[in-house]
Amino acid sequence: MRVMQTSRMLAVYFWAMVVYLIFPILIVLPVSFSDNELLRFPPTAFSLRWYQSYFNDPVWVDATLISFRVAVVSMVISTTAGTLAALAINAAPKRLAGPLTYGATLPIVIPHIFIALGVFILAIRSGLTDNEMMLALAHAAVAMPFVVLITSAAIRQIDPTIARAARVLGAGPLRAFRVATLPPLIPAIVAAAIFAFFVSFDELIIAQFLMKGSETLPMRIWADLRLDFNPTVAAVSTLLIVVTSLAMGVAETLRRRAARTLAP
Amino acid sequence: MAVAGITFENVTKRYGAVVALDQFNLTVAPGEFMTFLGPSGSGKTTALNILAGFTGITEGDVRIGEKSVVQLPPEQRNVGMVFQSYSLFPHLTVFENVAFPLRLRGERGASLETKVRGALAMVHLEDFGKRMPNELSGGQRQRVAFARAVVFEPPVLLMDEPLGALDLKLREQMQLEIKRYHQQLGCTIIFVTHDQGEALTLSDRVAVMRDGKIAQVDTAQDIYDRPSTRYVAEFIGRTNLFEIEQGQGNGWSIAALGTQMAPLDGHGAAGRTLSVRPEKIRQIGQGDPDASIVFDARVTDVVFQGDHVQYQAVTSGGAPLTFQEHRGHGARLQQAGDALRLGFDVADAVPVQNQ
Repeated sequence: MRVMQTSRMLAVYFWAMVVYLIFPILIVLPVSFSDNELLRFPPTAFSLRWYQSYFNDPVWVDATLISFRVAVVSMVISTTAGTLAALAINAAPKRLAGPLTYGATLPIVIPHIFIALGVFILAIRSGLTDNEMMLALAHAAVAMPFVVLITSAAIRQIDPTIARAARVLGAGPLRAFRVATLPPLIPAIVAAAIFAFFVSFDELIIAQFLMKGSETLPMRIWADLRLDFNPTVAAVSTLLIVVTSLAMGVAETLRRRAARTLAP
Repeated sequence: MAVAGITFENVTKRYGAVVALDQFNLTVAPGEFMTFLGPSGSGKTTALNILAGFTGITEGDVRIGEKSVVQLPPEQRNVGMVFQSYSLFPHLTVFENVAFPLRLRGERGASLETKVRGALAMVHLEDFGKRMPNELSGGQRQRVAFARAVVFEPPVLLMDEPLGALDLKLREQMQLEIKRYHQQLGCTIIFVTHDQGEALTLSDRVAVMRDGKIAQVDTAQDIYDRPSTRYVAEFIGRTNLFEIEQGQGNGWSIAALGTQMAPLDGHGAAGRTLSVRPEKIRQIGQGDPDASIVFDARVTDVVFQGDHVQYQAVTSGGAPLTFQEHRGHGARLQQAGDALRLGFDVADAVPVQNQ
């Protein structure tokens, strides 16, 4: 009897948490399909007009393209740097692995607003405000810890003697890296890259500090909410949620498959 | 590729203050199956990694054939290697794993295909070429690793505890296979293990290692029958060790057995102990042939093991003793507490250094 009660309470708790976590989506999703002029919940009529308005408005499309460019550059930088850092941490003496991992993942524990402030001061001094490259670099720093953590986990799964096997069978150090060490890591690296892309694509605070004339998508959403308050924001958000969850799903599948094939 | 011998000449490897290999000298004949046997930390893996080129040396010289390899990186040494963890490339098929060293040596097309198929046939995996490593059992993976290590016909094959990850039954089966491969290929094999049974089964010669040095290097049979030190006698198999003292005149006195014996060789008893294997000690009774050394003992424990029985006993001199009896001809099982007359032949007793 008591067991039954406990498990029922756990079920209630579980569903309460699920609703809590996806609550924003439950609001945004119906609103995006509404036919009302103003953001209003629940919607009283339904249409696709706000999706249309998003795709037809050059301001929204430009903001999306800027975010996309910044995210791609940031993804390339953070994935390369993060993967190399993870390899270095793995190759370092054991007593250094802890401090190095901590150092490489530090941006996770620093609030974005401080990073934003620091980068902002740097940008003003070097005259690089409103510069997409500067923003991409800042985003890369914020995304790199995730890359380090994801690829480190995959590197630890790999049998360390595989690279040695490649060497003794006739491959030089670079070749051993390319043919033995790197290929098993590729699924994890792709997963990390997708993750890094969205860290940048969704980021608002640093962009808000750095950018002036040109707007990223999160900046546009933020500005729109304050000025306009029409359901285009909800349509954009819904699209973002769908694209992000699809990509994360792909990333997670890749990561799991990698873990499975690498398992000894 | 011709088979090559291996020479370690005064090789020392230090890690800071730790000496992993200490003035190591060893010559391995071309085509010989040599096993490095020892506990962990004895230097056996260090010696193997030095041969492979993964570990540098502090002093000395290492030669494969006539050529010093000290300056060569692993990829230029042309040795095959099998690892305990198989170390197959997880993203490559079995075929591509085996083809890997051949491709690096510029092999292409039909010749590559033939060689890979030949190597896979040797390890009985001809139909597994398209599989991925994670679809194979441990034994199959180790066979692929073996095929990959020998497909380019290296003059020297290194094996680092290759059977350590397999279960007992598979291990015994793989031992026989490795023996067969060695006969087929004829290459020089350096085999590292801490399993003495494996060492005795496989090797032409065994180098028993301790603290970065060779305690004894000999054929498997001589290592077992003629250990040179107390350490080797105890590390390989079981043995009984009896203190010996210089008795009257030239003779040796064994207090534990309460007997005297003539010296076994020209040397004195000082610094030495007598080693007698449990299966060399037998009961002396009516009708049984006499032995050269005879003493009284009392059984304290009986361990029944099917085809043989192992007895723990105490001699009249108070020394514990183990002896073993095969149950060939309906030998009567002794009970704890039974008093027995035991003996062994001097030819079966080996004086060993107290090291």
